Amino acid sequence: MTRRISIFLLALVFPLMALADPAKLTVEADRTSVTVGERINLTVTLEGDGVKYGSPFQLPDLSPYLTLVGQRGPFSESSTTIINGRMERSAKVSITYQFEARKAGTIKIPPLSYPVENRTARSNPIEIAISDAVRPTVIEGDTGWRPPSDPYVRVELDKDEAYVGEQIVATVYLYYRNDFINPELAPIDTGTDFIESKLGYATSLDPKTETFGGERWKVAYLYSQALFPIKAGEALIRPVTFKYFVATGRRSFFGPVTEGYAVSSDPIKIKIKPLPVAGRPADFEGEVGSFDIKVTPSFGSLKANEQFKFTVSIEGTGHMDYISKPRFEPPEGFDLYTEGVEKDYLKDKGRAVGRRRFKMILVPHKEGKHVLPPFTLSYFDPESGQYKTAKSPGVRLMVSPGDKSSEPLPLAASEPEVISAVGADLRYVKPDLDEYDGSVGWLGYSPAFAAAQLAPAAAVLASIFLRRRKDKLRHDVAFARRLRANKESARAMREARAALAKGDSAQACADVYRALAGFVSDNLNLAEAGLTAAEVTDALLEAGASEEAVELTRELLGSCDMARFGLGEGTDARSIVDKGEALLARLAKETRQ
Amino acid sequence: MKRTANLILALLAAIIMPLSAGASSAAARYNHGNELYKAGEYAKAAEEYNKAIEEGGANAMAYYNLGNARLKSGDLGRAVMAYLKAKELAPRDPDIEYNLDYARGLVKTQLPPLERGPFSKAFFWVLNLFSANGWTAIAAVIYWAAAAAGVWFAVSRGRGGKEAAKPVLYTLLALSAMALVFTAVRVKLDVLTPRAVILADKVSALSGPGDNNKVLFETSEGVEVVVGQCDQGWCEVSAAGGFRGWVKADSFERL
Repeated sequence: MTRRISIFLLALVFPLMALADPAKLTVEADRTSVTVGERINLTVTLEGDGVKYGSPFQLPDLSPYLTLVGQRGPFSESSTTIINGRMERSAKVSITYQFEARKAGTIKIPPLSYPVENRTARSNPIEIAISDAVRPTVIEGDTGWRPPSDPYVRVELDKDEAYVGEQIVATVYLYYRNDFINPELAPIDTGTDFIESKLGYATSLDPKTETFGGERWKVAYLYSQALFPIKAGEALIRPVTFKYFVATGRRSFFGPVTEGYAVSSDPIKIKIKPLPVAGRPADFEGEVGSFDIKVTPSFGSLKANEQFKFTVSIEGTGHMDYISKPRFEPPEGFDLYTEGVEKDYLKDKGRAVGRRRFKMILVPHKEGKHVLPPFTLSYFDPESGQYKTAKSPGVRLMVSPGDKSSEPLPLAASEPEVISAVGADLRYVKPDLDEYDGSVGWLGYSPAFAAAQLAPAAAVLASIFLRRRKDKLRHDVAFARRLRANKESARAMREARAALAKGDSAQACADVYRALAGFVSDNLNLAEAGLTAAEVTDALLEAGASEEAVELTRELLGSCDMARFGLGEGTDARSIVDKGEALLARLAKETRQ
Repeated sequence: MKRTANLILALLAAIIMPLSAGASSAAARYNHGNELYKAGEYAKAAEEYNKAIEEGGANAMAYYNLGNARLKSGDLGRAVMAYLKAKELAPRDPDIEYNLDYARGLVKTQLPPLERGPFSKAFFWVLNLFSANGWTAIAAVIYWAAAAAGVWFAVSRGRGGKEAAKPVLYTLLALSAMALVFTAVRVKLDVLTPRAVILADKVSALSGPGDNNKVLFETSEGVEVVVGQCDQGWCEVSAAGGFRGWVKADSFERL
């Protein structure tokens, strides 16, 4: 019977188990064979009925063979299907981890596990083979040079030596084998040896593969600059720093942890030759390169004393900051003015080309046909190593008789000279001293200074205390009376002594009574008027005075009463005063609050 | 009475005389350093400036001239140190700023400059107006004034007096808090931060103490670093741009 029931239950449960879609964890690699330096993607997928991605997948430690460098996901998707009227929901979560192969060998990725409701889903194991990078045989043209570090920044110059002012094109390349992230590159620091002009830069890394020393490297163009040496001698192109980050393989809450590194190019020294003295034209002002001069328009028809506006353009490979105004001697009867100067920087065939335009105004004062002399510019051509002179065509003018009353319009002053730095050095030492004013360190370390800072705080605290005390005296009558009790009783006792000295025993006893009654009434905040001896003794007992002191008080008050009304024959007033003083001191001590 | 007065005078003289003697000696050293500098004897000039500082205490002009002499004699790292000390003492001196920038420009390993936002720039502009002692003195004066206003407020009777004291007190308290912040930052940067300058020509910063660790970045003479923990003759240093690594303790000198 039991067996039949079991079979029946199994028959009932098995179809139900088949209906349920158990959670399934899979790990897939996009390749199972890589070489060191290459990357591999592992996709971990969890799918099944109602699966939820809570805690992250726990990846095993794959170092030193594989290092985690990136992650995409988690991506989740869910679907609902109705089959034979039955609704089924399934969900899928996947994450793709990117690893970089760092060491040759075979690594077995053990099954991953992930808790799903009351069970644990397990993935399949995967084996990855990592091989060393294959070193190809040295090919033709491979000089055997190999970048000394990965990555490596290299600055290449288009020439080994140059003349002062001659354009040198520096191109910066990046050599690398392993990938990195967040690259940052500083421009060439030209220091005080060059002035520079930007030529171009790469908006993104677009490497080509080259072989160096039997290894395959990626070589990417970064940027190029035109450098113009400003003095003869040995000029230094300082190292260019390239900053980048690489993944450490560790992970934090925010994702893969990266570390920053920097690598610098080698400094380059280049010989800068002075310009030759031989053959230097008298009007040479330092222009180096190759230049053309154009004049537009080169023909004009106007009346005498009218303005003829035209532009003289100098274009060439020199730095435009070095180009001075072209030489031109206007013939007699002509006035020449410079209206303005513009300069442009262009790029042609990988080199910097500049253009400087001088806007000019010529005012002829005599009529006739004129062919003006050309504008000239003497320069040194580093290609030929010779001085040359560029000449513009001569401007032709047809000047007709003008209105004799017409005068040339007022013109702006000629182009001002612009100051520019030609060198840099330290600023000079400070002058001699009559008195040397030295400090010993930070003020805060001085005990006197630190102690002095306590005084303001103490003053504020003291003033707050005094303020509160004053306020209390003003608003708390009992407190104020208690404070003055001793003072008032002492004064009454002094008056008693004075009366005693005058032989007025009755007054002395009256003063002692007043001192005692006043002390008690002030100290215990009782109304002095009509205060009876019984009230005094009760109040004193309540205030904590001893019974003996209370009894003494009562007796002394009685004696005083008798004496001041002249009823106490033979009363010793001095003794009463002495006792009164002693008693007051005792009461002050016993009733102190 | 006269005897007591004579005793006090003698004591004062005993205190002041050595100080003034030290100051005049330092001034003489400094001036002699200038003479040597002008004569092109830069190394000897640097020695004189150093002695002036030892005898007379820290002085911005002496440190500035020391930086010049060291730079002229090819000691770039210690020149940067001297300029940094000079800048601590006189942060608004344009000559110190210029020569420090000039010296930094000669450092082979150029680290990326710190990029600051507009608020940060404004904060550091104000911060660099005064030295650590300058800010401390300013904070102390404002604090004393605020305390005086506090006493005024506390002892004032009646609403009128307190109302008059209140804006003064609050303004001074706010100024005191601001001055305290600037003082704290200045002191943290100049006094409490263990700064140093690399003196070796080329130094590799490693991932740990010991030659067998990985090279993280390269530094060179004149690079300014902050020194962290030290272990077995190696110290962890951090440089601008977030670079951190271990270098040998004898490759740098603390300010």
